[in-house]
Order: sequence, then structure tokens, then C-alpha cells
Amino acid sequence: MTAPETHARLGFRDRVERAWPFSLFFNPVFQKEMRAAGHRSGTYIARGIYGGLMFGIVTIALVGAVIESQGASSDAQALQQLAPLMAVVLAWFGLFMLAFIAPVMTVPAFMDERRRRTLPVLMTTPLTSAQIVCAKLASQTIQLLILALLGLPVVLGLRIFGGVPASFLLQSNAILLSAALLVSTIGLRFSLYRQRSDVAIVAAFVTAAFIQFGPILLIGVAQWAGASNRILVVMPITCSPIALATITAELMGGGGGPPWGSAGIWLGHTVYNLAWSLIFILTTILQLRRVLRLEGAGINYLKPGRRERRRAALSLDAPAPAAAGAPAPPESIAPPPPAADRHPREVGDRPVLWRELRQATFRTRRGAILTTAGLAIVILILYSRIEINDVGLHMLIAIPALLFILLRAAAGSTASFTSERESRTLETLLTTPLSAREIVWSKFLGALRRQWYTPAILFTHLLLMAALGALHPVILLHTAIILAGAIIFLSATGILLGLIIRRSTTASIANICVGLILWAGLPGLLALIAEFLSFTRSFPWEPIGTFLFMINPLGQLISSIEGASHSNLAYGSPGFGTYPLWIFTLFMLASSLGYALISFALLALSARLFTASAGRTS
Amino acid sequence: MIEIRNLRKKFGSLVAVDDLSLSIGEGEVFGFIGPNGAGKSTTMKVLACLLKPDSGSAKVCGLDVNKDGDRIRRVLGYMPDFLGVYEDLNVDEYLQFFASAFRIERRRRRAVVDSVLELTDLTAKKRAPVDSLSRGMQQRLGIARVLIHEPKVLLLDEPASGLDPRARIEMRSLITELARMGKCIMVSSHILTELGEMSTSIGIIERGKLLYAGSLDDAFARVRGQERIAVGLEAGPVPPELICASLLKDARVARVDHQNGELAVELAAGEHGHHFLLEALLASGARIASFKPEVVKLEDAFLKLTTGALQ
Ligand SMILES: Nc1ncnc2c1ncn2[C@@H]1O[C@H](COP(=O)(O)OP(=O)(O)OP(=O)(O)O)[C@@H](O)[C@H]1O
Ligand SMILES: [Mg+2]
Repeated sequence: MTAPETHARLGFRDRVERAWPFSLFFNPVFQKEMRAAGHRSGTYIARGIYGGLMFGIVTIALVGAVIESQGASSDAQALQQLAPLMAVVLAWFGLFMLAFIAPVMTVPAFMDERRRRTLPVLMTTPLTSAQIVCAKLASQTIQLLILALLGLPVVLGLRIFGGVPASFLLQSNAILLSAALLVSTIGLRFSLYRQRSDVAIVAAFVTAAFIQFGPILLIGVAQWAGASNRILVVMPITCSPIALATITAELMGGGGGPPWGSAGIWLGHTVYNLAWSLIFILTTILQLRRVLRLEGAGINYLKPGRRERRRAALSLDAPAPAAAGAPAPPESIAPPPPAADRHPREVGDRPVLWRELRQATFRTRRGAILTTAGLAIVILILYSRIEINDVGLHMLIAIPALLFILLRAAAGSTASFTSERESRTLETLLTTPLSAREIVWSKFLGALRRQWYTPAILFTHLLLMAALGALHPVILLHTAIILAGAIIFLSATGILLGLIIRRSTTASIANICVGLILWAGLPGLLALIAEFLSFTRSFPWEPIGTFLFMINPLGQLISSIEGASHSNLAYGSPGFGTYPLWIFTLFMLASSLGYALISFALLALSARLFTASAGRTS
Repeated sequence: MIEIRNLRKKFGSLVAVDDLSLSIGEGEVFGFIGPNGAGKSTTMKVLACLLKPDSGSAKVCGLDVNKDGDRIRRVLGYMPDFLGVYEDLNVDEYLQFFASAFRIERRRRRAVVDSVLELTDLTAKKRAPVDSLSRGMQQRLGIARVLIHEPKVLLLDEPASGLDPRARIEMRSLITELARMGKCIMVSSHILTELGEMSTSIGIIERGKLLYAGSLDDAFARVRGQERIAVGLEAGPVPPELICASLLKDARVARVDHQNGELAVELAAGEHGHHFLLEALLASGARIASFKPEVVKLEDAFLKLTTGALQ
């Protein structure tokens, strides 16, 4: 049968479905993804949370408006005053929510296929890599669009009753949707080549941060090297938050608007995001081709480098050197774990803990060396350019380090149980006499141990600075207390969420959200309430604000670095006065102790839940 | 050593195991047969304390699965139908891991692991990463793991799937050997001939209901009761209808169908020789071209017993 013949018999619908641009996106993979999303309760939970939060914000604003209007001449007028602010809040809300939800949707895309070993099956169909990638992306983008559309009624209300210009709504949505698309494509890219979803998530967020904030650093360097101020114009183009800030500033009356104006910024930024997205889509397609090829050959491409693989293969089948030249069966190509030779073979009396502890932080030794060298170079450049007595230097190192530590702690700990469940080893583990408590605690300690790297870098810096006299040595104590509290807390919530939530990606993001809500969302909500609900202004916000600031690891670290850089060791929280060293230290201790206590309670709860959620009956 | 009474387990509205009762004693190999989705794995999971029964009771070594999970785990070895592997461990470490999990003393572990490796013929693969093993080798590793704490009761969910013929035979003799050591073994499988050779009793389950439980011989006898014999006829003076009619006069013949010169004779329940049929055929004047008693296999027993429930 010839091809034209078959084509002639196709119905109109079939022909449309096979036409080029259409089939690139709307092919069977797309349909499968859409159906799968429809079956997942997570899809609806995400919509519920997104819609609910938006509804909450709008309600607060409306209640505020109604109360306010009792003094104003009319409801409509009050609403009109409120509308721009609400539009701004919703735009920011959308930007952050979509940027966080996007990787939840795309990171599992290929990871699930690999785990279920369906990639070779896909390969045997006539679908091309481009079709697979685009279809996956299209289906996830549609989910994101649905979320964004949930806000449509509110947006229309703002436009019609509030008089918010359509141009703002258009611009802000262009920014946030293109940013969401960018994060989606990055997630898709890392979905392909990482073994663990938490690593993929961290990698995706760090990459996104580099794309969004990296150019700003470059601009800073260029300016410092003597470039003219005009170079600043590109800043909002490369960074979503700044782009959004620019257009919101314009909407709010231009008070804080940038000197260079906002015309074209949103467009430039949208194009910037889309261009990066395209790059990631193309590289994903290329990588997928490679992965499919390797998968077809039965080669485990997730394992360490080729050289180590070969060495492993040789040592594995030592008595058969003749086979080394011939194409070896896949079985012997796969290497033993890289850590195997560095750790004793003897399994301890606490097997789960033993296994957790021997998991390497880096996949390969080369990766570890390269990362350390790269970081060392960056830090040395900073040292050479910035005065070590400048507190800015320490902030520049400590803040990104802390953010990364928190991200890693939040994402990494959830995999403890989800990965067991995904590799279907949990069932076997459950038929051993190991107690739930022992398993949970082993997992927890293992999660803690895997996070040593970034804190070690931070401590090296602080130790050096203390030795050079730039910072008071007490900073080491404070940092240790602060990091311990935050890491223990996020690891414990991660263990709990990993037990409750079955999909590892979702669990990781949920745990990141725990940190975000506690340390950014709550203060933001308080600010929102204080702003919109004027009747609450008499409420004693200040102690609550101080409290929230004092339990926030970022605030804690900033305060402690600032304090340690002062000669009089005065510790402050912005706007809340200063304290002497010992009171501050007590605060930090109390806060971390509080986190630890909560964590232990959560772990006890986890051990209880473990029995129920994992299926043990007694 | 396994006692199940009126066990019932539902998943939502689907009844996976329905009012199932059976008991298996020491040294017995119980073959659990049923089509896909019959409820075999579910029953085993209940016994392994991985699923809570909705009603009824299940006891292992006299211990209730609802209360004594901790003690049951020490005497029970459960091999799931899907072996989950830690991709970061090699075969030796994998077994050591479980030896440690089963609280085997540190100094004995080495010897225990070596002996189960030996038993399952995996010694050569000792240093290979678990996830690089072929399906059949993983299956053997699963067996090795189950044996590591010398359980009294073994639940093996499709242990022979993915094994090559030689390994199947070895598996069979291994199971027989374990039974001789006094272990109580429950094996599920789709490979019926295989179960036939090693199990002392079988249970046939379909749609959650136990259709038959008892010795193999009984199962054969039940089916043999409805033995069929195909008789080919040459064209002769007597029309086939008449031959049928005369055969049906014998009480031992339950039914005769005829088509294109071939008679399908179904015998009534019970043990009968075949000579009476030959004699009756000759007496009726039939010219016999062929005479083929259908050989009764476990497959047939299985099909017969299960389709019975569907009708
Ligand atoms: N966790 C579950 N949730 C919902 N339904 C389930 C679950 N586990 C099993 N079932 C259903 O229970 C029924 C029995 O399943 P079970 O796995 O016990 O069958 P089986 O006899 O082991 O089949 P197979 O021979 O295919 O292994 C099936 O219909 C299955 O779909
Ligand atoms: Mg099964």
C-alpha cells in the first residue's frame, strides 16, 4: 500500500491532525497527557489552591473597600481607588504562583516515563522527539493557562468597575505567562537527565534564577568596570520581577517608576523569556533524541561518566577480558555505584540509616571538584573586588548560600519516601521487622547528612572572615544555630509531606511552599491585611512583625551578619530597635529550639502516619 | 500455619477477595492459581500485613495479621510480584541490608548471605549492581532475600515469572526442598504445569472467590469425571445419528455430539475405562477411523473450574 493511497482515505479530521504545526503539538502524547492530568487529583487541588488564594486576596480587598466606603462618597469610588492596588497584587501573586507550579507539572514529564520504562515504547512509535517534547509542553502550558484563566472574572471586574487600563492587564499577563513558560521549559529540560526529581527541581529553580538575575550581576560587573549608566536599561528586560515592578510602578502613579520609562520593557522581557524558552525546547528535543538512542541500546545514561563506567565493567567481569572489545551486554555496562568503593561494604545494624548515609552528595567526584573550584573562583573574585570589611560582601555570599540551603533542604528531604515508593521497595521494607520510628528517623538523619555541602562553603567563608577580623567570631555560633533550626525544620516537614504526597515532585514543591508561606507568605499576608483593612491598623502588628522577622532564617542571618560586623555588636531587626548580643543569641536559640521541637513532633507524627499511609496493618 | 477465615477485601466498590477461607499446614506447598486480577496478590498482601482485611480473619503461625504484625514479620518471608530494587546497592549489599533489617547478628550475616547466594546461584553476580541484573536474576535475588531470615512461612508471588527453563526446574526443586524442611509455602503462578509438580495442594481463585481448594488428585478427578473422547468415523452402512443414539443408551455416556464424521463423546462423572466405549461403538456397527481420549492437564482442570464460575 502506498502512502498517497492511505492519505487519500483519511478523513478531514485526520488530515488536520497530521498537518505539520498541528501534529507537532496535538498528537497522541498530548491527548494522553491531558487525560492523565484529568485523572490526577493534584490537578484539581492545584486549581483549588490557586483559586482559593486568589479569592482570599480579593475578599480581603473587597471587605476593606466596603469598610472604607462608609467614609467615602460611594462604593464605586472606593473600589476605583482600590482597583490598581488589587491588580498589582494579583499580578505578583500570579507571577510567583505560576513560576512555582510550572515545574511541578513539567519535571515529572520524562521522569515518570523513565520510571515506568515507557520511553522505549514511545520510541517504537512514529512520533518524533520534537512531537513528544512539544506535546508534553503544550499539555502543561494548557494547565497553566487554565490556572491563569481562573483569575479572569476578577481581572474583568477590575477592568470594568475599577478602571484598570487594559494595557496593564495585557502587559502583566504577558510577563507572567512568558515567565511561567520559561520555568516550564527548564523543568522539562531537567526532567530528562536527572535521576531524582528533587535534584531536577533545585536545578530548574537555580537555572531560572540565573537566567533572571544573572544578567543583573553581569550589568553590575560591567558598570563597576566603567560602562555607562545606559546599560541599566536592559535590566528590567532580563528579569521578570523587575519588569513587573516597572509596569506596576507606572500603574500606581509612577512615583517609584524607573527613570528610563517602561515603554517596550514588557515586550522586550516577554521576547527574552520566549527566546530562552525556545532554546530550552530545542536542547530538550536534542537531548531526548540522545536519551532515546541510549535507552534503546540499554545503556543507563543516568550513571556516572563513561570512563568510570568502562572501568566498572572491566572490574565486574574480570574473568572475561576477551569480551571487553566486543559490544558488551547492557548488564555489564552499568557500573557499580560510584560510592561503593569508598565506603565499607559491611552493613551496619541500622540498615536504612546505613544506606542513607552512604548516598553521595555528588554523582561523580569530578562534579564535586568542578563545583567546588567554580565556587572558589567566584568567591575569590568577590574577595579581590570588595573590601572584606564591607558588610555587602558577606551578604552577597551568605544570602544566596542560605537560599540555596533552604531550597535544597526543602526539596531534598521529601524524596526519602517518595523514591522508595517509586522504586517499589517500600513494600519489601515493610515486611521486615524494622519499626516505623526507626525508618522515619533514619530517613531524617540521612536527609540531614546529604545537605552538608553548601553550609560547609558558607562556614568556610565565615571562618576565614572571623580569622581575618572582619566579622566577630560569634557569627559562627549564630549561623550554626540558625541553619540547624531551618534545616531540621524543613527536613522534618519534607519527610512528612513525602509520606502524605505520593508524587515526589509535588511533595518537593509543597515543602518549598511550606518555607515560602512561613517565611515570605505570612509576612506578606500581614502586610496585605494591614494595607487593605484599615480598621486593623490599631492592631498590634509590631510584635507580630518582629516575631515573624525573628523566626525567619533570612532575617536572622542578615541581622547576625550585620551585628557581627559592627564593632559594638548591636543586633537589630529593621524598624524594631536593637538588642545586645546575649539577648539576640537567646532569641536565635529559642527560635531554633522551637523549630527543633516542632520537627520532632512532626517526625513522631510521621512515624504514626507511616503505618497508615504505607499500608502496614499492624 | 496459615489460617484464613471468611476473608474479604474491597478496593472501593471492587471486591478483590470475597469470603475466602483456606488453611495451609506445615511442609505444605499450596499452589494458588487464578487468572489475572483474581485476587491472589491481594490475599498474599493481607497475609504479609500490608493490607488491612475488611472483614474475616487471617492468621500466620497462630498470629493475627491485625494485631501481631511485628511477630509475623519475623517468621514470614514475602516475595512481591514486582521486585523493587535500590539502584545504589549491589547484590551483596542488598542482601546484607535485609539481613540487617531482619536483625541477624553482624557476625552471622556474612555466612547467611553467602549461603543464600549459593542457594540461588547468584554468587557470580555478588558485586553486580542490583538494577543491572536481568529480570530472571532479579527474581532469584528476590528469592534469596526472602530466605535470608529463615522464615517458617513463605509467600511467593509468581516466583517463576521471567525465569529460564533451567532456572524454573531449579526453583521447583528449591521449593520442594524448602517444603521438606518443614516450611509452609504459598506459591502463586500462572504456569500451571509447574505448580502441579511441586504443590501438595492447590487453590483456584477467580474474581476473589475460592472455587476449589484441595489436593491435586481431587482436582484431576473432578475434571476427569467429564472426560471427552473424540472418535473419527469412516463412512459406513450405519448413519452417525444411529450410532449416537445407541451410545447414549449406556449410562456412562453423558453426551454425544457429531459433526463431519467426528463424534465427541463426553463421559459421565466417575472413573471409567475406555474399552466399554470401543465395544459399544463396534457393536453399533461404526467403522472407527480414530479414537482419541483427551489428555487431562492441569490447564484443563483450571479452565474447567474457572469458567464454571463465569457462567
Ligand atoms: N491497590 C489497589 N487499588 C485498587 N484495586 C486494586 C488494588 N490492588 C489490586 N486491585 C484490584 O484487585 C483485584 C485483584 O488484584 P490482584 O493483584 O490480587 O490479582 P492477582 O490475582 O494477583 O492478578 P495477577 O495474576 O495479574 O497478578 C484486581 O481487580 C485489581 O484491579
Ligand atoms: Mg498478582
